[in-house]
Amino acid sequence: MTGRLGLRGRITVTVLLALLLPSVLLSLLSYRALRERAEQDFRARVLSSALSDFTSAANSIRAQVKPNALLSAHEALAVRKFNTYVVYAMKPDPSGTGYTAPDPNELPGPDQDPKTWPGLKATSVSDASVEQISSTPLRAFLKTGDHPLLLDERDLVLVHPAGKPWLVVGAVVGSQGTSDRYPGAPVVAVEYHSLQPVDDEASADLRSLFLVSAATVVTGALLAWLVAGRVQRPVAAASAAARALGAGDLTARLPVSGHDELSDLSSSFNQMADHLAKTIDQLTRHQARQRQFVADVSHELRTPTASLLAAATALEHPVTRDSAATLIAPQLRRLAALTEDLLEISHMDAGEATVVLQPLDLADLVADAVAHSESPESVTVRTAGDTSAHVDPRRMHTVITNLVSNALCHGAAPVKVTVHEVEDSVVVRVADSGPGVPEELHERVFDRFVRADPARASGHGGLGSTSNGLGLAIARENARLHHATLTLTNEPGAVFTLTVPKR
Amino acid sequence: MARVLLVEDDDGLREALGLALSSLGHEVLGAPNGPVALERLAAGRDVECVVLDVMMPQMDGFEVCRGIRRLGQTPVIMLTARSEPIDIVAGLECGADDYVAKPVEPRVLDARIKAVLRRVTPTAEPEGEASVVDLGSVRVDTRAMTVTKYGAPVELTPTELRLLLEFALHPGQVLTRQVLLDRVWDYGYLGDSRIVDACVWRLRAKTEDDPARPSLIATVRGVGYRLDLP
Repeated sequence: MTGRLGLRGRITVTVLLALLLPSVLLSLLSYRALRERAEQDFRARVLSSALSDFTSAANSIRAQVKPNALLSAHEALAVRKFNTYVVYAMKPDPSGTGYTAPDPNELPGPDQDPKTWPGLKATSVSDASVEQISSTPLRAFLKTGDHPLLLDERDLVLVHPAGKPWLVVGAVVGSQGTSDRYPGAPVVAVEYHSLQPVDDEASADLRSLFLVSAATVVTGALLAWLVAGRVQRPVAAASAAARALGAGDLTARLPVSGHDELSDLSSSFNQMADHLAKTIDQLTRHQARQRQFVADVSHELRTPTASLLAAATALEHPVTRDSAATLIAPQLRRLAALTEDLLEISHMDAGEATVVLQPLDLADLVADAVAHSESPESVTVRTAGDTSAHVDPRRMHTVITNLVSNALCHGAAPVKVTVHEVEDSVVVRVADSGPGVPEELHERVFDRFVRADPARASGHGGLGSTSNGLGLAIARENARLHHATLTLTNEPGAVFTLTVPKR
Repeated sequence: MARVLLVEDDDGLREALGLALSSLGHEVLGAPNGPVALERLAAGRDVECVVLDVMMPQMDGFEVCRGIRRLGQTPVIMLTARSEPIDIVAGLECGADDYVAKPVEPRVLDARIKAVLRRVTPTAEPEGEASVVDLGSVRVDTRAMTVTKYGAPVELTPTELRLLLEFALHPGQVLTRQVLLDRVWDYGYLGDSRIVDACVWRLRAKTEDDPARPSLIATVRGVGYRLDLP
């Protein structure tokens, strides 16, 4: 793995990011829902506790527990230690028709200890100001008359003094007595319920949600890491194998398992490697063949060259001069024949060999080839049927000449040649009376510079193309150019069978 | 000048080379293959030098060379068509004294034959000096040209003998391959130092108690060889 993130890292990061956003959103939505629910519960609780508090305060005023209505209400509410509350009396309206609500700004803050705040303010409030009061942050619903304790959830007010949320609830719990400052003025009790516990609970919930989200994201990333690893391992293996292949290890292959894309990749890679190995093997073989060919050619050139060098030296001496002179022509002929054959082969290899077909009686070609062979008297020819075919005269003559010459040179006399018609072909059989060619060499005798007979042909230095090991190779190549076949069998002497299609 | 047996399967080359060597003053006997050559060598000890082709049917030159060594110590010059190092080394290791590559200039072959033959002729030693060099288990008589190991005669080819004499006459002195080529093979730049290595290797095989750990002729890495007196 390099310094970059790598496939595995990228997959993991992608999954991580994909999980992160929904998790966080989900957490926040859940938090909101939870928080709302908690607040509703809290409101319900506040409502019921406030109702009972205010009832108790009203009872306390009615029973005149204290001479002062405000004190009586205070007494009753003080028992409920858990609440922050204020009790105050409304001021009579200057017009004398009602009471005014207290200025909300004059109300004590909920964080103020109610004991230090007398809270015994009286205000008068008119009917008209009820609406006004209800629109202020303090929405204690003020009622006068026989039903001072009308309270419902809508009366709960959320205020945020000093940034802290509080539920504020209030009610008219009675009216001031005769001994009070404003006799008959309504007495209002207000309770402050801190929302802190709800907030705390919600934050705890939020923490849990974030923890769950984090756990989800981490687990997801971990799983992604593991899964990516499963993907990455074969990819890494493929990359390693490709590197090995590139470095020349042609045996590098990938294990193929399962039926997924990775196994497809593996088998494609293996096919490619097989193909590559095959191609390189072919090239290597071809190169080896080329090298062998050059070595063979140079070897084949060395013997006549050495002979000519030696003959040239012998020419300088009067005693050996005459004998030496006779040695030169055969060696030169040998070189010339080799040159011709090499040229022919190089044309064939280059695909430049042209074939000019014309109708010809193969029996005539055979008769001519035999007549020009080394010992025509050792060859018998038999002909049967229509033996004419469309062939290139020069090339077909070369094939037949090489076969006859080969039989005389490497086999043994007498040599029997038959030319006959078989269906749409003309078959030329050249059979010698020698020991035949070893089975394992049957295909190789057609290779260049391969000689099958143990005595080799080198003893026949001047006898033409068959002695340089190229004759049969050229014959087969020429046969191939005619779409003809040339095969070798032992019966028991070597029998070369040339089958030429008539057209 | 010398009676040479030319073993070559190519009629044309055998004939031409035979004529060329005759024109240079040698008496040439021809043999078309290994068995004929071995038969001729077994028949009489008059052949002074064998020129042996490597690539021959039936029996290749290496095999014929080993056959010649079983018969005696007649000097052998290999005639190789391929000058691949492996062919040269193989030829030298089976007991050949020298090699030439085809196509060979007859005069070069003539020079090689003469050089090989010179090794058979004893070097003239100053009168009065001890003729026997004692090398411990091996004793060399520089005048009679004989070598014994624990008293038993050791058969050495002329080249091997010349090489051992060269060492025996210069004990404790490092002889470089070039010096040995000059003095033993009688030619300088033409030579291949592998010829020296092959011959030393063969000499060790015949004279050392354990040729793998030589005590007589030591190799001086990168330089040559040195004969250590016991």
